[in-house]
Amino acid sequence: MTLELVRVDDRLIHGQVIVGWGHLLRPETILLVDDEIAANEWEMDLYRMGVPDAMEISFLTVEDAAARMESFANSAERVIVVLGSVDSLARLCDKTSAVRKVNLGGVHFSSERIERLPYVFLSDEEMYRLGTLEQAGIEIVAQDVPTSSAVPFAGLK
Amino acid sequence: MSSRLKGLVVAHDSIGEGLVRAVEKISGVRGVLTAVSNEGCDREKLTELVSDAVEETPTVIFVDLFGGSCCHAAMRAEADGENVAVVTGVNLAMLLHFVHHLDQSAGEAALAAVEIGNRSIKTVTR
Repeated sequence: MTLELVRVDDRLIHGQVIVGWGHLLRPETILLVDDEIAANEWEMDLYRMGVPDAMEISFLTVEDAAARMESFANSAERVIVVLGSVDSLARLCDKTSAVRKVNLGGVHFSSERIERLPYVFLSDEEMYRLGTLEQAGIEIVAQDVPTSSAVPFAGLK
Repeated sequence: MSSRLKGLVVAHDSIGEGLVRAVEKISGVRGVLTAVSNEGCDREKLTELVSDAVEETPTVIFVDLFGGSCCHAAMRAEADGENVAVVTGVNLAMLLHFVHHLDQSAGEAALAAVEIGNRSIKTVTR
């Protein structure tokens, strides 16, 4: 299993991912899974820019990621997967069982969301969808950076 | 030059606010720099805050970390605006120079900021 981190973070690839988790996990590949970004060359360039030379970055739609997730999970490569939303995560997990553990790294405020942690705001629908994933055996843990305490999904109510 | 430049410092936590306050204290120049923090913002919200702060005015956007969320938001605002330039690795030296050199294009001011900023970084250990 070399999906080192499967992270939901609406800032996608940024300091916490590259510096915080990247330093600890030393990923060889980062997969940015987002339908909109994967269709926008300009946005892809933006995210390529901040990735160190030692890391590969790939941009995939949820559909393409689902098709390849098993092979990433079974490869010798250390991979970090970043998704921009609970919706992308739920759609990914509907199509593949390769994801066994999920990190909620940053879901910020919007009008329909409630604060669960200072860096995790979730709507009731998002809570429900995450709950469904957890019932299916996927471990869900909130943790923004490796040095902060990990909060299990049950602690987010 | 139709209107004078202004500067926007887009950075993590309270870095921007601290830098703007320090520049005002040191230089006495007020009203040129504005701070935007990425705290609590997803990418759309931060891009909106930066774009709203740029308005139609020629602006240099200073960000702290190359390739980070502030940098991404600044580059989106730059792509949407005219006479907007982005400089990464903001430091006090470049801002102090900037607030006294506002009668130029954003691109010229950005190049000068990079030069001044770089020049101020050195080891003084003997």
